[in-house]
Amino acid sequence: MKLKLFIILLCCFYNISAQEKLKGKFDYKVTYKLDFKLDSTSAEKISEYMILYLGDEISQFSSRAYVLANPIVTRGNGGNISRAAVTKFFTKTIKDRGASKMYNSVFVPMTDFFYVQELGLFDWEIHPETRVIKGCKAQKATKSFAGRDYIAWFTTEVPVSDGPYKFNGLPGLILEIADTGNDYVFSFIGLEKLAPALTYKINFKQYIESTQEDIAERLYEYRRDPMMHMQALRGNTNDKLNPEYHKKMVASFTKMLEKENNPIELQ
Amino acid sequence: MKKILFIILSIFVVFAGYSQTEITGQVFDDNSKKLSGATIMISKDSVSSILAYGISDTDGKFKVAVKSESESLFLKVSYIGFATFEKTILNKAQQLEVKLSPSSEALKEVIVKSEILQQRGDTLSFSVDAFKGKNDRVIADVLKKIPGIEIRPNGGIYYKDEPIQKYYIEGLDMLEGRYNLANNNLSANAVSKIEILENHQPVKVLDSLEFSERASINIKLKKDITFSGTATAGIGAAPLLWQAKVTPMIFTKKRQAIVTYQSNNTGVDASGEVLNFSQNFYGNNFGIDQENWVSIQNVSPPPFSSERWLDNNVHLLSGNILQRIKKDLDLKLNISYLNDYQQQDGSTQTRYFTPTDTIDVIENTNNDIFISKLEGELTLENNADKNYFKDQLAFNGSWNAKRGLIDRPDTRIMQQMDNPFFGIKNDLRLLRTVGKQLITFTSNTGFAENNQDLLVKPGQFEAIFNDGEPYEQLQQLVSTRKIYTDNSAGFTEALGKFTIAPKFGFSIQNQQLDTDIFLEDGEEVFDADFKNRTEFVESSVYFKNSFRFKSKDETWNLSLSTPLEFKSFRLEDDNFEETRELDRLIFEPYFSMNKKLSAYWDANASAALRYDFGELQQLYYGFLLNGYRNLNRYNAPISEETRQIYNAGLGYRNPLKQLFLSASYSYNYSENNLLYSSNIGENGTTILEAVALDNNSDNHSFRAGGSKYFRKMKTTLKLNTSYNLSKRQQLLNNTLAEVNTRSLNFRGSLDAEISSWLIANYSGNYTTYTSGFEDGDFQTIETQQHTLDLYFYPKDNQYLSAGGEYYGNSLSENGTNYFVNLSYQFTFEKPKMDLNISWRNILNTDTFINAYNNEYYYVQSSYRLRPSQVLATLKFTF
Repeated sequence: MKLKLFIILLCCFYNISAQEKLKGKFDYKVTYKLDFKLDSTSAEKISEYMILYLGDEISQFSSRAYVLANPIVTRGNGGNISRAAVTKFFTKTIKDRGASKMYNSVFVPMTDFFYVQELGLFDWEIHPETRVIKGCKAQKATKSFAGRDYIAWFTTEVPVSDGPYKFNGLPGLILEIADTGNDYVFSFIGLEKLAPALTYKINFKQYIESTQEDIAERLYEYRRDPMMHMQALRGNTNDKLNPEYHKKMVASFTKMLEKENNPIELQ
Repeated sequence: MKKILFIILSIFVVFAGYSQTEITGQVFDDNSKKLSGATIMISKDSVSSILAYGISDTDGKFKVAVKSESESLFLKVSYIGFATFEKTILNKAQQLEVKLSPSSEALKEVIVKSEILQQRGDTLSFSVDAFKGKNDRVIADVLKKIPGIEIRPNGGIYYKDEPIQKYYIEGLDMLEGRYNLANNNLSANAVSKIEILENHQPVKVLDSLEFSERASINIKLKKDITFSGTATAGIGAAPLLWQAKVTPMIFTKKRQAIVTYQSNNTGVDASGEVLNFSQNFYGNNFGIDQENWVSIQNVSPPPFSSERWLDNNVHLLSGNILQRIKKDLDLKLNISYLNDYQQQDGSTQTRYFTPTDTIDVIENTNNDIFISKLEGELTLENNADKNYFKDQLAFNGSWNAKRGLIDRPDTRIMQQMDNPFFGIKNDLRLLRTVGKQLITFTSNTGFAENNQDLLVKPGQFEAIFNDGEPYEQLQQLVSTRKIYTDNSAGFTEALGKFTIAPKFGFSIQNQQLDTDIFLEDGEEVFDADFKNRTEFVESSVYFKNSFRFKSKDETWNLSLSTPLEFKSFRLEDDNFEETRELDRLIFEPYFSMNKKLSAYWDANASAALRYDFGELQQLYYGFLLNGYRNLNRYNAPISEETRQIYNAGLGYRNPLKQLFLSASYSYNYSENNLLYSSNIGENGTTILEAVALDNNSDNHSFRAGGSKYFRKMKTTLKLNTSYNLSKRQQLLNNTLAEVNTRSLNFRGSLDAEISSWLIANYSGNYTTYTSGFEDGDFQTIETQQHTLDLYFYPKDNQYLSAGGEYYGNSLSENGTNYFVNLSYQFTFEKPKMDLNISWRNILNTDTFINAYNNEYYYVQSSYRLRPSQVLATLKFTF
């Protein structure tokens, strides 16, 4: 009898499956290097590798740390395994050309948040200057975005209207893009064909939609006090923090975050 | 004003500029399917740069406005996987239809140099100087601050909620899981970097074959030769208290050593630092842990820190040495000796309920415990690229003695117990490539010997041993020997979502149990009912083919394992003719699933079938005196238990509102071929026997809990509840009874950051436990516990904590216990020192009163605590 009930229960779980998914295949992988300055008061720059996966309809851009820690094929919102590798560039941008939408997701341990933007944010001004980047002929384009003026170099040899981060809308892949202050510099490292192609599936039903500001706040909250955050999540009353260390930790994280005063989007 | 100016200006620009041509159109593939995302570029000619461009929309449509004086324009339409369409057109408004034909030509690749990017796993490196606060002394203080790292109360290190795999110092694993010793004593000043090796596979030969989910830590030192350590000295009253610890260590490229000596009489459990956190991956069924066949009566210790109740006098010496013999080959020796003298004082009042009667037993207990323990481990490990070899020889010896005195209203009973123990084992693990397959060989062999002796004065169970007449003494001798070996070879093969891991092996364990009972003047009890000459052989030639299926996408997580094993048991006793045998083919499937229903909800369920068979502890024919008033025997077939376990749960997580809720239900059903019969005599003497009678038991448990973080008040509130219902059959004084138990528990806690200098924590716990037979309940006990802690930070280098506790139960007359503790810490910059003054048990509560119940009895106990004491300790790192 009890077994029967259990089986019925199991079947119930099977049937609940409303789906709202993006599906696709990634044929190409573009690698960029990002040199960025998080602390505007210091000259020190941080470097990270960034990966842009290109598919017919969908592309995904993120720090290489996310791709390494959790191969894109198995990565989803497993819900219980936190595998976010350590990076200082938290936004993952998924561009859906079909719907003309851009999904920006931020993983705050245990939860994937996202906010949606229109793909056509950029009306570039094209300039006649050209230069050769890693054997590709690239042309200059400029555009202001979120408080910074950018200079981009795109190539028509890769006929994909895409680029690092949110940047897109040029008649070819953006190989290099930097703001005029050189605080955020994305430079092209390489392009490889993926054989076999990576199949990719993402279900935004499993993600929590919010606003860009709210997500940034959640991320800050977590990074300032991860111990409290994880503990609240576990919800076990026997689980106690050592208040002495907890306090020390929050103080040192707050100090660390104060030094991250120069985000890519200023406005 | 500005706006108008801008409009006028832009109108002017448009008119003043070149004439604008609008070119529109639609892009199709060879099957006339609309292509979205195609790029349309217009330039002056085929070589010049782009003048204008467009991107086709979902209908394949595009619109490009060109400003050019030139007569003709060059149009280019491209799309990945299609040949670029090129055409010269006239510079005039027009509508075009572009059909692209597929092309196998791939994009021009710019290959990324592999050495930059393709590394296995991720090494995250943290500079210690960046994380080190001025009050941080040892490496554990710094480690706690690294994102993702968590150190649990017993010292276990977790990275992203998973225990770490290895703790290396300069790439060498000296401590084999006893890393507390280095973590708590290596000066943070000596360390340059902490590296976290994500997805670390410690066995090199498995590196590309077996993916590891877990991380390891590597401590990088500043100098090639490092000498470091800590020293702690403490003194207090009353009576005179001392606490001393010195832990020097040395690290060179080829040799590492840590030695520690500790001594205290302050109730601190010194063995904590030599706790081993390494995970046993041998899958060993047998071991050489000490087994207790006899014991003296004791009082259960209070549920709070041992520093307030443990009356000890401990000395611990531990040494750990690693020598790198050559590349990839290490020899390690870990050895520790512990000597302790503990005293226990308390009293218990036990009430037994039988279907016909209730029996009360009052005991005042006074125990002296002498512990002397030597443990060692010698390891040789060769971790090369092509093969792996690890041999570990461990020994374990103890010479413990206990003396117990029991005062009962009418009598006084002496217990004396000796239990020398010796065990030695060797574990070998070898990984070799055979053909194309990597085979894992394991071989575990061990030997253990136990000689236990319990002497009780005056003799008990008079009706059995002395025709109901009082007599002077009763002595139980137990001697056990065991020898085992377990050898196997296996491999793991992953085929997509399926994993097969066949393993072939054999194991055999031979245990010998000899017990004898003597009365006064060494008079032996010759009755075979009170002797054991048991030989128990467990053997198995197994072919385990565990088969796992794992499907993991965004919402599903399924796993199924189906191990199969053949087990055989054989038990013989010289005093009894019959031999007990059991051969079973065991199939223990396990299935679990997890489904994410939405961004906020998830559900999980699991089901398992398990078999448990009797161990020698539940298999002997003749009576054995386990305690001064317990006689046990298992004169029945080998016990066989079949368990079914089901579990289902539902969770809700809302990180936006910081609200987390979960609920689960689990059900256990087990069938057993043996029923246990307890005969409780008037003075609490219990005779336990096993009876062959099929019976079953079941257990339901419900759990629910939630937590909420209030952002504005910086406060976390947590609430948990659980309810448990169980039913089992029991023979009590020859009457078959169905014993029901119910327990209900509520827990809550509140953690508030009241201001930057004050943190307050409260936690509360309320439990009721009811037991009864079919016809009615006989006892309900309610227990409560409340704790309030306040932490003050008047200055950066000072810290004061004050705590109050309440424990109460509904059964005992004076069942309320109050405690207050105070602690103050001052950190000196120069010289680097921490001074801690603590005042424990300020109210000078002398005993802890507790009450708990079990299926058919309850116990009220009082445990004598340490008096109000003040202790000052000074700690330095060097």
